[in-house]
This record gives sequence, structure tokens and C-alpha cells, in this order.
Amino acid sequence: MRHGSGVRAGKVPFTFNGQAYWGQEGDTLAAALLANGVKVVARSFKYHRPRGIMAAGVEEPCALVTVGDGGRREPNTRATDVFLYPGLVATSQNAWPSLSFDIGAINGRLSGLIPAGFYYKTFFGPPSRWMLYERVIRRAAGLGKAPVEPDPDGYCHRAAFADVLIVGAGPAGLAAACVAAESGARVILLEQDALPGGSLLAHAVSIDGVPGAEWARGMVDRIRAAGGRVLFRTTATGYWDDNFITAVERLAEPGQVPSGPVQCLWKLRCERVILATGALERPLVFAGNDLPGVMLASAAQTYAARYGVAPGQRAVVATSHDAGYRAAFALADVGVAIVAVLDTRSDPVGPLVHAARSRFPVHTDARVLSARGRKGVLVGLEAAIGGGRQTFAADLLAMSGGMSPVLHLHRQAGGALVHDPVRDAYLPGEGRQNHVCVGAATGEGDLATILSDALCRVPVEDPLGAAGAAWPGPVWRQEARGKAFVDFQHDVTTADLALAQREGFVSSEHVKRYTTLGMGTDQGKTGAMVALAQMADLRGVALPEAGLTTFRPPYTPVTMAAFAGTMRGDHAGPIRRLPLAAMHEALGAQWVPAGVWMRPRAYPAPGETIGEASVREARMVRNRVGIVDVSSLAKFEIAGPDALALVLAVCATPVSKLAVGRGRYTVMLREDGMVMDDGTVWRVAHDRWLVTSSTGGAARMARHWTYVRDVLLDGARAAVVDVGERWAGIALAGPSACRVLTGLINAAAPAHMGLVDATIAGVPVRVLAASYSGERAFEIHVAAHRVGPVWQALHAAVVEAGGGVYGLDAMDHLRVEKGHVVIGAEADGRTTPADLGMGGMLRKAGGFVGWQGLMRPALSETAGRRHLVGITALDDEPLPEGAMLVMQIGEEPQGHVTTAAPRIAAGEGAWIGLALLTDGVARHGEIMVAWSPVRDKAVRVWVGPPMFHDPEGVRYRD
Amino acid sequence: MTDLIPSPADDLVALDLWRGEDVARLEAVLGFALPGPGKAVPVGSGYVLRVGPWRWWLDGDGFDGGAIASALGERGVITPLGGAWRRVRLVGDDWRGLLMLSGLFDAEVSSFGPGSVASTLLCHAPCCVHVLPDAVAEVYVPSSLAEHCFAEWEKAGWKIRLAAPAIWSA
Repeated sequence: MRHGSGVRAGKVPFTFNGQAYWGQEGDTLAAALLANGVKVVARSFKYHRPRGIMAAGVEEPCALVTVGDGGRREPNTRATDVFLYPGLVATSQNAWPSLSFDIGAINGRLSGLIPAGFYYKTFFGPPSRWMLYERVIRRAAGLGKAPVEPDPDGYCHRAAFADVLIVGAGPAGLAAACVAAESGARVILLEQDALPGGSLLAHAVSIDGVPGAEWARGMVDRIRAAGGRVLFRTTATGYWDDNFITAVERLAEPGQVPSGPVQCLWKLRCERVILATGALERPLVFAGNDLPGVMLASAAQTYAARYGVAPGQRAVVATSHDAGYRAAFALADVGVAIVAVLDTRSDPVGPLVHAARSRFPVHTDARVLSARGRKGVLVGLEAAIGGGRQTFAADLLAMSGGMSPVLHLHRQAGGALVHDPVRDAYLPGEGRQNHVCVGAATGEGDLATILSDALCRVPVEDPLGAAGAAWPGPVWRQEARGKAFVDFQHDVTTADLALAQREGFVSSEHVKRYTTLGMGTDQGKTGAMVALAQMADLRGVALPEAGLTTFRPPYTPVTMAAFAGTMRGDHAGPIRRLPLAAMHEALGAQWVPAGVWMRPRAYPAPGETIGEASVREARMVRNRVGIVDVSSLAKFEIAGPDALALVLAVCATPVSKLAVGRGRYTVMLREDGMVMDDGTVWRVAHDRWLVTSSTGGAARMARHWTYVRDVLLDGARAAVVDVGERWAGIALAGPSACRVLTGLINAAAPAHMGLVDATIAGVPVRVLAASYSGERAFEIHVAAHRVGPVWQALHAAVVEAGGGVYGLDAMDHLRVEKGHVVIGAEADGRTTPADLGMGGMLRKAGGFVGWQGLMRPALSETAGRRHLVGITALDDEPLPEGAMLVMQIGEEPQGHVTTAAPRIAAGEGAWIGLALLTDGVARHGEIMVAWSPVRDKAVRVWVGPPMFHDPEGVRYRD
Repeated sequence: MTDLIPSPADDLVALDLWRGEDVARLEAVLGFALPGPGKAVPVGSGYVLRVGPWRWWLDGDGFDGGAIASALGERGVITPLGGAWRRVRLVGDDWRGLLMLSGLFDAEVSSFGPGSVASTLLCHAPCCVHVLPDAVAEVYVPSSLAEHCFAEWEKAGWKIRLAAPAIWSA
């Protein structure tokens, strides 16, 4: 039975590589594996070297395993960051056929052929050779394997607001949170561990008369009692603008079956942020520093003090500063024999050193030269001590090259870094977003000082005494042959950094990308500063001049599902439903997303394809009558004394002479003169207008209307009310439409572009005589909550007249024949009204938005611009939409096909389309090729006017 | 009890005034209060909610549109919105928590109490939240997005009580 500040009594069964083991409640997988004597847990990325457990927290670079199975399988999980639960299943990665015998280890013998940057050199030579390399590299790349089954678990998002957000529940964070909460502030405290306390969990210190871990738990109780929110297993992943922080809360461990959502993405908006993110230990650099059995001294201390685990039997502690000595004491307390303490300093002093000298053999001016292994694990090491050399037999080497403050979030927030020449390290400078760093994150190592700085003045007792000198700078110099790693996860050695330097990759950004230094899931948390020190030495500059790469979120890997939250599957995005959705479903509609709306595409009869159905429906409208749901169109009511002025500003066509009850087609321009949207404008009362526009542009037009009113017209007295959802819309179109309508409303149908108010099936409706199809047509507006009976009455009437319902595809075929443009296709943001043949529609006096843009010389000339044309296929095959228009295949495109459709009305050619063609209006009669190399299609087309049906508009009139 | 009780907001009307109008004078003319930003007041069996800089919603069947339009004259307009919005009442201890799952506004702050109104995004849909007395809130959801929002809230563990009460009381 192990004892430690973090373990409890219960036994927890788990498996690793199919072997059953037991751990204790509170163990991480790493602690449990070490307790069971498992030292090799993975194979490294490139050389497939055996790897053990290096650290005890999220900075772990080596012990990456796969946890869970099926859709819950999580590869690349740090064994140090998953807490045991009964039935946990873990497997090693990047080894075949087994961890102990891995074929990939041959890469180690071939390391001379695959140094840093070899990947880029495979681009030299003939491209065909790259295709061979690519196959091999792709198979070898990566570590774990992602699951292929769908993730069965749920993820949620939650927002929270705080006066003070504290990141890190170590002593500094706890003190700050307690002071803030008890002063009445809304406090949120985040801690990525399962327990509060941070470094206190591995330090035998007393605070205010109680052990540090117990003090930490008491502080959490006080924070919660004061109304603070404390979240464990919650990592602050990103620090964004305006004090917006994202954090991921693990509600279940990797692979564990959850009782609710498995993770929650917190979106936190805070007045002030306190970063108590602590510091991470740096490794030492020597040959073989990646052998299983070599670990960070603070990790060894944690395994001993928190988990009661002896990570080895015979240990050497190698350190460059006082705090590293604590590992020796902690290890000795769990029965590890301390063979030696090697201190790189020549004359260390202080209470820690003094206490150590009385218990352990301490050597100064001592550096590890190389670690030796047998069967893939550490068995001993050679050290330089003074002027001589000495070997030690050991199965554990606890190394410490100093500490680096964790400043990732500080940098993401735009905080400055200040180089401390004493520590040769970066400390936090001024923050930019009302945030501050506290505790070890500022470089402060003394616990009493940390608590005092947080206005938490309580007695601190450290039986070993406080650390004396500050942490020294990173130590990188390698003095023995063999691979010495600076980035353990990506197998980057000191030799790789030297190679990069020789090949001219000098800047830190180039070195990073050339060697892949810091590009693993650990983001170089342990080795980055050591590598930076080497780069600075190689360039002969001071550390600050070596440069830094950018700190980017997330701080630790985040599963994509956490970002998605509940927006998955059918709810990947919000879906807008038509008010008549149920009726369309009952009629057998095939749905299609149109932006965020789901609209009926067609209503295929049994055995019909969608294409066949759409042609049938379109012919039905051309020859008889049909109804289509157009409820999704944007609709705005503009009302007030200045309504006309606002409409004149937004709509570029003449409108002021429209009488009440009359409307017209209109177009709306951007300020640069390009067509932004089109629709219809109706005068429903003296000072009230109804303007319709495209479905897809609804949000854009809503913003535009209010922008024009509030900014360009300086607050005109005109209300802009979005009535898009207030009015459901049904378009009734076809040669029999008028007869159908008059039969329903028992009154005369309005003339083309007129409107009347009427009733259908006892429900008030507004009938707008407008046509998109080219036939006599009416758009019938009904209050959305009353549209059901109206639709049913219309449907019954059109069926009796030999017609039926039609969908979006049929509507598109019909409008192409009439040359009506669609926003997004023909009006693609680069076309002016003149380009689309609408120049003559515009108000000659101007005064509308975009008028001045059209005055620009480049737009007042139409020559050289792309004009709307109609195209007819000369070959009997469909026109490929998006195809380029060329004279000969392979030439530069002179335009493109914007929309293609089958011909519905009688005429030459089975396939027609609309296109934008350079100088198109002057090129009617030319024969070109619609060429789509990606679809391997080339169709000859005849260029003509963009109108294929009823050019005089006779069919609009009764 | 954690229930969602949807109902149509068929009588909803938008009342727009022009920038700079004398609101207090118009209140006297109209005969009911026009609450300040972020507020709502009960009027008869309905409510007046401030939803925009110069826009109010009148929700209830007791508002006479014609009379209001006459009283306003040229100082404002009203526009019926019936059918455009669904109203859903949140009844349960953690309605604030539900809103924090759906949106990014502070529903947990103590000042967001009875009579408060927030125009915000919930489940990526433009919504309006109105806090009622007795720890109840009403959310106005665009009709086309109601199914989407309700599905998201059901996923969060709230139950849609489909049968609306016969009498809709404030």
C-alpha cells in the first residue's frame, strides 16, 4: 500500500498492452506504470528509440499512449495526464510488432540518412521519385492512430463571466483566488490537475500549521464558500482578445464512459486575469538523455511524494540548482538509494545543499556526460567530476537544468517578455489585457514570498529550508559522443540544431521548421529553452538575440469534438425550417441546404430522379400552373416619414412614382457600384414600403438598410423591420395562375407588378403580382402562423388545374430561360448593373448607394468588362456549371458559365445557360467552348442574348 | 422541474420611434410605459419589452394596433410581427445555466433579474430573453430556428412540454 499526498486507499485495475495491472485511486497512468515496474512505455517518433516517463504533468514529451477503444480511443494521450479508472485500457504507440521488439528501431541505425531536414531533401530530383518517398514517409509518419468509429460521447460549451479569473491552483493561484473571492469578486479558478496545490503536492512543507496539500484543500473550501467557482481537470487552452479565455474541462478521463458530456469547452469573459501557471523544469543535455530511467528531478520528486512510487532502486540526482536536491530527499523517503548528487556548480551553498551533504554523497563541478543502457533502459552513467571522470551504476537519473516560467498564456495575451540575465531566462513583462503573472510564473521560487505577494501572510515551514540562489540559465553543452536530445518528442538532437545552423537555417522560426523542434504535441515545453541556448551559442549571440517562436493556442491538445460541442451531425450548423416544412415532407420533398435554410429541391414521383422531377415540374409551370414555397426570401418593411428617402437611397431603380399598390423589380448596389442584391419594391401605403430580396443576402441586407439609414442618412425617420419570418410566401406561376387565383380570392387578380389584399380560405393574404419564372405569376404573402390553410387551398386548386408543386431546381431552370440573375451566381460581387444588362434600369438622376462608384472611369466604360450572355449547347450534353469559356481548349479563359439548365420551353438546343463573358454584348453569334478540365468536359456553345423564352414579356399579361 | 413551454407569439408588434423622440411624452399619449434599455414592463395581460435602441415589442392581445398608430402619428410606426417568433418559457431552477450553455452573455449576474431584457444570440440564433418574476424567463426564438434551438436545449437535459397551458399568464 503506497502513501502519498495524492493517492487514496482503493485499488484500480487497468491494462497496458494487454497486461493487467493494479494501481491506486488518485494515480495517473504514469504513476501506476512506474509502481508496477514498467519503464518502457513508447517508441520515439523518428528513431523508434525506447522511451519511458520523463515528466509528471502535461509537459510530458515521451510517454504518449493510446487510451480507450472504439470511438472513444484517444491516441497521443500523455500517460502523466490521465487518471486511473477501473477498466482503463492503454496501449503503446509507434512500435511494431511489439514495444520490446520494434522493427522501426532500424531507423536508429539509419539515423545518418535521416537527419533533421531530410524530408525537404526528398524534393530534389525527379518528381516521380518523390511519389515513392511520399508513400514511405506517410506510412511512417505520426504516432498514434486516430479512431475511425464515430465518437459516441457528447461535448458541450458553456459561457461564464468573472471579475477575476485565476489560472492555476498552486499556492499563488489559491491565495489570489481566496483573497479575491472573500473580497466579494466573482471568481473562477481553473486547475488542470485533479487536485489543488500544484507544487505543494510534492513538497513536504507546512502552511499555516498544516501540510501543504491540506492547506490547499482548505483554500478551495474557502473560495467556494465565498461564491467562487473552482474547476478541476480544466486547462486554460487559449487567451484571446478582450480577456476572453477558452478552457477545456475534462468531465471524464480519456476512454472513460461518461455519465454526461465527456468534455466541456468553457468560454470565459473576465475583467481581470491572474496567471499562476507556475514553471516547468528543463532537462540536462548529455548523450543518452532519453533512456527510460532518465526523468526530470521534479517528476521523480512528484512520483515519490505525491504517489508514493519509487521510480527506481538506485538513483543519481543531477542538478544545476538548489531545488533539484529536493528530489533526492523525496526519493530517499520511499526507499530509493541515492548513489550520488551531481551539482554542476563548483561551490553551491544554502540550507538545502547543507542538508543534502549530511545524507548523500554530493559532488560539485559535476556534469553527466552520458547515460548507458541495457535492453533499452538505464543501467548507469558516466560523469565528469572536477577534472576527472567517474561512472555510477543506477537505474534512475533525476535531472534538473533549472526552471522555465510557463508564459504561454501571457504571450498569447500579447504580454511582453523580459530577459533576466541572472537566470538567463525569460520572465513576464508588462501585460496588455489587464492580466498579471504571479508566483513561480514570475521566476519567484520562494513559497513564503509567493504567498506574501498574494496578500496571504501565513507562516510557512520548510523542513529542508528555502532554496538559496535563483535558477541558473539553461545548460546544453554536450561533451560526449552519442545522441543528446533537446526535443524528446520529435527526436531532435543537439547535432540536428548544429546541422540546421550549418545549412543556413539560423533564425528560430527556420530552425523550428527545419528540425521540427517544438512542433510536437508538447510544443517543446521542456526543451525549448535548452534549444534556444544552443542556437544562441552557435550563432555567438546572447540568448535574447536568438529569437523566439510564436506562442499559439491551444496550450495543450484539444480534441476537435470539444470545439464542435453540440454542433455535430444534423446539428453541425443551425438549420432554418420553412413554416410549411411538414407539408413539404408529406409531399415527398427532397431537401437541399440553401444557406442555413432547408428548402425543397424537387418532389420526385416514384422512380423519378431529381433531375427528371425538376424538368417535369418546370414544364408543368410553363404549360399549366404550379406553386413553390418562397418563404425564405428576405422581406423588409420600411415605414415612416422618411421611408421614401431611405428606399431611394438603397434601391437603384426609379421608385418615387410608384403608386400605392404598385411595385417593380429593383437592384441594390454596394458603395463601389457592384450589384449587392436584387428583389422587388412595393408601395403598400403612402409611407410604408415592402422590399423583398434574396434569401442568401438577408442578413447582409438587414445590415445595409440600417447602415444607410443611421450612417449615410444620419438617422432618417424610417423604421426598418425585418419581416422575413413574419410573412410566409407562396409563388403561384403558370398560364393558369390567374384563373386559379381569381377562383380562390373571388376577385380580380392584380395586374403585373400590382398588389392587392385579399383572403384565401378565410385567411388574410397579400398578393404581389411578380414573376421570377417568366410566366404570369403571383407571390402570396401570409402571416407565417396562418399559412397552412392557404397552402392547402392553393395546392388543391393547382392540382385541379392540372398542376402541382415545384421545387428549387425547377425554379432555377425557369429563371435561366428568362435570363433572371441570381445573387452569388451571375451577380458575384464583381458585376455592375450594366454588366448584367440592367444599366438602363437605373435612376438617371443618381442619388442611390453605389451611384458615385459607378461614375469611376473604369466602370463607366463597358468595354473590356465581363457581360451577361446566354449560351446554348451545340453538343447534346449538359453544360458544366463553372466551366471556363475559351475559344480553344487550353487557352486563357474569357469568361465562365454561371448557371446551366435544361431547356424547358421549346427552342434550339437541349441545354442552355447564363455566363459572364468579356465584351459579351458584342459577341453574340460566336461559338466557344465551355471547358472544365477538372470534370473532363468540353462542350461547344453558341453565344447569344441572355433570354431564351418570351423576350417581349407577353406571358406576364393576361 | 426543468421544463420548456413553447407558445406562439402571434400578437407580437414592433413599435419604432425616431431617434431623439420624447419618450416620456409619448408614454403619456400611448397610455403605457416604454421601458428603458434592457427592461420590460407589464401592461395589462401583456408586456412591453425594449429590444433595440428605439424599438419596443408589444406582446399581448390587449394592444390596439390601430389606436397606437393613430396616437403615434408621425412620431413612430408599428409593424405586426405575428408568426415571426416563438415564445418559450423556461421553468426550472437552472434556467440561467441553460442560457449559459447556449449563448455568450451573462445570465448569471445578479442584476439580470425580473424585468430585464437581453437581445442576444442563443444557439447561434438571434433571440430575446425576458426575465419574469418567480425565477422564470421567456425566450423569443425566430420561428425558423425554433426546432434547432429546442433540439439543443433538449440535449442539455431540458424537457419540452409541448402542450402549452390554456391560459397564458404572466
